[in-house]
Amino acid sequence: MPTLAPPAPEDRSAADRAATAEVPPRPPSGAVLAEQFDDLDQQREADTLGMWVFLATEVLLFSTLILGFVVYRFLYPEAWHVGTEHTKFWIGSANTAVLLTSSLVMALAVHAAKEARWKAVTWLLVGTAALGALFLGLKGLEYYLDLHEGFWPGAGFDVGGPLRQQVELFVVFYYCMTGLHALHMTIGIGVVLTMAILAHRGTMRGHMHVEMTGLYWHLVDIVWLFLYPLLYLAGG
Amino acid sequence: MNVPFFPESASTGAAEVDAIFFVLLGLGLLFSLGIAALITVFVIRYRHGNENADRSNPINENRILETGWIVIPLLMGLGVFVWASFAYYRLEEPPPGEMHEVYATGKQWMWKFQHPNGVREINTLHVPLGRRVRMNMSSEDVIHSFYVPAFRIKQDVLPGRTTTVWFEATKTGRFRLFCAEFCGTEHSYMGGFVVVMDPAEYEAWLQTGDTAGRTTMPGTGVGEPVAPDDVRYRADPQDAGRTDVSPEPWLLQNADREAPAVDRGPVSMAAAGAALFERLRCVSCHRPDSTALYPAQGPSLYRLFGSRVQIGQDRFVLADEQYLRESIVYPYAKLVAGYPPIMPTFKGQLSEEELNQLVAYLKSLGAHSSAPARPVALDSVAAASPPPTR
Amino acid sequence: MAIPAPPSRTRRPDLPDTVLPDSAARTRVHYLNDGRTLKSWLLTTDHKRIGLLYLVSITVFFAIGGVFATMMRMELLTPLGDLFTSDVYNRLFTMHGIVMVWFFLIPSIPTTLGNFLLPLMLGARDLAFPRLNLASWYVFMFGALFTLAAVVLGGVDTGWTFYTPYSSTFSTSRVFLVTLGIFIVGFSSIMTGLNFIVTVHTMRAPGLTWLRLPLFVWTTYATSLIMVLATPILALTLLMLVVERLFGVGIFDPALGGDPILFQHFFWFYSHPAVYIMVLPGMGVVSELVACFSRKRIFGYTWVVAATLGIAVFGFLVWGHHMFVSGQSIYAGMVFSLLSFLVAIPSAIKVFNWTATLHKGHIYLKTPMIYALGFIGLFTIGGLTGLFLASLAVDVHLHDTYFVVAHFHYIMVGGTMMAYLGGLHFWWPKITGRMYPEKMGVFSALTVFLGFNLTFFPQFILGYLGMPRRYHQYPAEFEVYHVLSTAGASILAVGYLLPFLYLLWSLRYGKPAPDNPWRATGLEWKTPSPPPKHNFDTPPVVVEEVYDYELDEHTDAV
Repeated sequence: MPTLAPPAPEDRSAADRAATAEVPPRPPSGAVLAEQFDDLDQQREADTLGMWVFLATEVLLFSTLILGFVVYRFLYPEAWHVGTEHTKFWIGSANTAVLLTSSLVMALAVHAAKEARWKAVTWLLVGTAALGALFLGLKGLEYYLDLHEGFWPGAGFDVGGPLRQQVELFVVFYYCMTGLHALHMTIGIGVVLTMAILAHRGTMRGHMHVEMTGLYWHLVDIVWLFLYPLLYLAGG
Repeated sequence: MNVPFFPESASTGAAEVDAIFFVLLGLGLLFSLGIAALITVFVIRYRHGNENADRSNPINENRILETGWIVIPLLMGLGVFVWASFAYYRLEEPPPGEMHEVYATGKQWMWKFQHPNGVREINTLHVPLGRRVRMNMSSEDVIHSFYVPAFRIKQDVLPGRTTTVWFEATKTGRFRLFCAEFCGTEHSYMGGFVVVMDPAEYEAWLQTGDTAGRTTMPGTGVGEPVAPDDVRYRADPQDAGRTDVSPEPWLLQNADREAPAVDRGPVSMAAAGAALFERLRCVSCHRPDSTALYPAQGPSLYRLFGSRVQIGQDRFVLADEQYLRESIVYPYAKLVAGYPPIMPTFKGQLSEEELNQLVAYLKSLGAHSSAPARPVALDSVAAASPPPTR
Repeated sequence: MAIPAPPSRTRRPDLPDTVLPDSAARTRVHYLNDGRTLKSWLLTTDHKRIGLLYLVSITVFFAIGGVFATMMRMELLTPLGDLFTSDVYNRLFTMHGIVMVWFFLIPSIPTTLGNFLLPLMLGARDLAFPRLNLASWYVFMFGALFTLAAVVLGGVDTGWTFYTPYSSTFSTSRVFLVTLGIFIVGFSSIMTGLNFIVTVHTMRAPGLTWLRLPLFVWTTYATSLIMVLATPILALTLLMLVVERLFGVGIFDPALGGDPILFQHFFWFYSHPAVYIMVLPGMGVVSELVACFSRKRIFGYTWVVAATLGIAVFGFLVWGHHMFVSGQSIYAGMVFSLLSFLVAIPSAIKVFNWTATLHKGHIYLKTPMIYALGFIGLFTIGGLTGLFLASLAVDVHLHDTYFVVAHFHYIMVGGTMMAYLGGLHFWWPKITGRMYPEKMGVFSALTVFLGFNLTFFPQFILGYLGMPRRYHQYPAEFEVYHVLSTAGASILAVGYLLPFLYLLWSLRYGKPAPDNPWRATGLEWKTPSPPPKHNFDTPPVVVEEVYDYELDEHTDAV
C-alpha cells in the first residue's frame, strides 16, 4: 500500500504543519493522517498497538469470569457435570462452526481490503455480520429452550436435585459468560455492518479500519473457543 | 493518666511475635534513620550557597554500590521472612497433644462461645491458664475476625465454614477481645473480654454453673437452661431390638438415653451432638457395622476425624473440622468415593451451634491419628455422662 | 518509528531564558487562550486542557474525601461514638476510602500531570488518541456521577473493599450505585492507560530512545501497564457482585454455595497492583524533582528503570498478603510473604538511588524539592512498615489494625500526595505560565510534613496496641493517640488548604513564568510557558542523554 514518504522532521516548518492540519493529505489509498501524528506509518503503528492493548484488556475481562468458573468447577465437579450435560451440546457445537466460518469470512474481508477491492469487502463484511447474527439467533434459541426447562437462576430453580444450589451457580456463570460474549458479538456485528456501509459508499479510508475490526472479531471468536469446551464439553 | 505504649503479652506465642517485631523495628530504624541522616548531611553540605563543597568527580552509576544495596537488604529481609514464617507456622498449627476445645460463633454483633461441657457465654470467654485452647469458629452471617491483641492471634471467622485458632494463655486476667473484620453497623461493639483463670478455678467455674459472664438471651436459646427433652430423644421403635450396634462411642447416645431424665445442667457439646445425630437419623445410614451382607448406605464415621478421605479417583481430602461441617451442609461437595449421592442436605436446618455440636460429636468418635488417642471432647463426654447401665 | 540519533555528547545549547513581559504573555497565543468558550474546553482534544479538566475534577473529589476524613477524625476524638451514629461513621470511612482511592489517588498524577506532560516530554503534538483521551474524562465524570448520587442518597457502609457476603447480601446501603460508578471509572482508567502505552511506544521524538526517557515517562508507562492489565479484573469482579446483589444468586455468598474468599482474591488481584498505580507515578515525579534540584543525573538511572518495571511485574504477584488471616492455607501465606519481601527491593533501590543523587549535587531547597525530600522520608517509613505486615507472624497481630491504616497512609498520602503537590508546584509555571509564591510554598510543604506525621505516626502505636480499624468507638486507653492524630489532621488540613488558595491566587497575581524557570532538562521545558496548542513551534530532536544537568549551572530565575 502506498503511503506518504515520512518527511524528515527538520524540514518541516511550523507553517507546513499548520497547512497539514487544515488540509489533510490524501494519499491514493485515502487514509487520513490525524494531526497528532507525523506520518501514516506512525499512525498505523499506533492504531495497531492500541488495538492489541485493547484486546489484552478484553482477554483479562473474560479470564476473570473463566477463572471463577474453573475455581467452582474444581470445588463442585459433580454439579458442573450436571450443568454441562444440561447445556445444548448441538447448539453450542453448531455455533462454534458458525463462528469459525465467520472468522474465515472476516479474514477474507481484511485481505480484500488490503487490495482495495471494496465491493468484495462489502459483501464479505455483510457475510460476516450475517454469520454473527446466525450465532446470536442460535444462542437466543438456546436461551429460549433453557428458560423453558427452568434453566434460569432464581427462586424456582430446580435442576440437579440435591445439587440444586451448586448447579444454580453453574447457571449463573453460564449466563454471565455467554451473555458477556453475546454483548461483544452484538457490538462486533454493529461495527462490521458500519464498515460494510463505509466500504459500500466508498468512503473507507484505507484498510486499517477493516483490519482492526477483524482483530476484534477474531478475539470474540477465540473467547468462544474457550467458552465452548468449558460450558459444553468439560463435564463429559 | 495511664497511656499504654506496648500491648500486654499473655500467650505462649506473643513473645516470639514481639521479638520479630523488635528486630524489624531495629532494621527499620537503621534504614530510615540512615537515609534521613544521609539526606540531611548531603542537603547541608551540598546546598546552594555552599560553593566550597567538593563537588568534583560526581558519580552517576556504580554497579558495586547498587548490588550491595540490593543484596544486603534482601538477605536481611529473607532472614526475617524465614523466622516470621516459622513463627507463623507455630502460631497456626497447634502442637500435638491435648487441646481444650471451645466453639465460637460470630454473628452480627456478638460472640457466642460454648465450652465442651455445654456451658455457653456471650462476648466473654473464660479459659484456663496454661492449657492449650483451640477455638473452632464459624459465622452465622458475614465475615468476622477473632482478635485478642494480648495473645497476638487473629483469625477470620467465615460463614459456611469452620476456621480454627489456638493459644495458650500465660497470665491470668482480663484481656480485650475484638472483631477485626468489618461486619456492619455495630462492628465496633462486637467485642468483649477473654478471662484467663487458674485451671482449678476454671473447672469450678465450669462445674458450678457460675453464671457470671453467661448472658441469657431470651428466645435465642443462649444461656437458657437446656430442657432435657430438647436433646434426648426416644429411640425409634424400629431400632429397639438392634443389638448390632458397636459397643463404644456409638453408644454414647444410648448412655444418654438411659440416663435419668433430670436436668444435669448443661449438656456437653458432644452429647448434644450425639442427640442430634440420633434425632436426625444419621445413624441409620452411617452405621459403623457395615458388612458385605448388610452394607451400610453411608461410610462409617468412626475415627473419621483427621483421616484422609478418598473422594475421587485420585482425590483425597483431609477430614478436618471444615470437611465434617461441609459434608453435613453440602453432602455432595466432597462425596466419599463409592457411595451414592443419597444423603439429604442439612443446609438451613441446623443452626451454627448445632453444627458445632455435631462436629464435636464426630470428633469424639476418635481421631485418625494416634497421638491424641482420646480427644478432649470424648473425655468430657464420658465425665459428664453416667456410666452406661447396660 | 523513533529514529535513534547518534549518541553524541554535545552539550545542550543554552536556551534563551527570557522572562516574557506580562503583556507579551497575554498576547501570545497558547493553549490556554486559544479558544475561551466553555465549549472549547468541554470539546477539546488537547491533552493539556484535558489534564486541566481532570485537575479540577480530582481537586473536587479530594475536597469531598477530605471532608469525610475530617468528620471521621472529629468523631474519633473521643472514645465514645458521640458525634455520629455507627451507621453514619461506617459510611464516612467507606466513602472516604472509595472517593480517595478511585476518584483521587488512582487518577491523580497520571491524568493530570501525566496527561499534561507525557506528550511534551516525548516531543509529541498530542497523545496517540486525543478523542479517546477526552472520552476517558467523560467516562470518569459519568462514573463519578453515580458515586456522587450514591453519596447524596445515603452512601455505602461496606468499607472500600466491598467484602462479601456483607456487601452482597447484608448491607442495605447504596452498594449497587457505587460499584457501578467504580465499574465505569475503571474504563476511564483503561482508556488512559492504553493511550499512554501507545503514545510512549510510537510517538517519541527523533533521538528519544527508551533509555533517554525521563523517569516520569517510565513510571507513567509502568503505571499504564498495570491499569490496562488489572482494571478489567476489578470491573468483572464488581459486575459479579452487582449480579449477585440484583438477582440474589450466590457467586460469593456462602449461604448460596459461593466462596467469599474468592471475592477477596479477585479484589486484591486488582487492588494490590492498584497501590502501585497510585505510588509509581509519584516515584516518577520525585525522580524528576531530585535530579533537577540537585543539578545531577539520577544516580543509577538504568537501575531505577529496572526497579520501576520490577515493581509493575511483582506487584501482580503479592495480592495474597492481604489475606494472611482469612483462612487461606499457611503455605500460600508463606509464598505471598516471600514475594512481598521481594517486591520491597525495587522500592528500596529507588530510595537509595535518590539519596545517592544528592551526593555532590548542587541542592536548591525550593518548594518542589522539599516535597520530594518529604516523599523520600515518608515513603521510606511506609515501605519499611510494609515489611512488618509482610512478616507472617507479625501480620497476624497487625492485620486490620491501625498499623495497616498508618502504613498505607504513609505510602498513599505521605508518598503519592507529597509527590503530587511537589509535581504540581514544579510544573505549575509550565501549566499556567505563572510562578507560585515560593515562601508560601515552602511554608505549606513544611506544614504538610509536620501535620502528616502527627496524624499518622500515633496510629502505628495504636495498631501495635491492637486497635482494630473501622471502629466507631474504641476502648478509652487509646484516646491519647487519637487526640494526637486528630490534632495532626487539623494541621494537615491547613497544609492542604494553603496551596489550594495561593495557587489559585497565582493564576492572576503570580509572576509570569519564564520558559524554563528551573533550568531543567526535558523537552517540556523547551517550549514556551504555557505551551502553544501543538506543544512545539519546531518539532524537537533529541541529541543529549537524559538528565543532562551541568553542575555549575544555577537556577536563578526565581
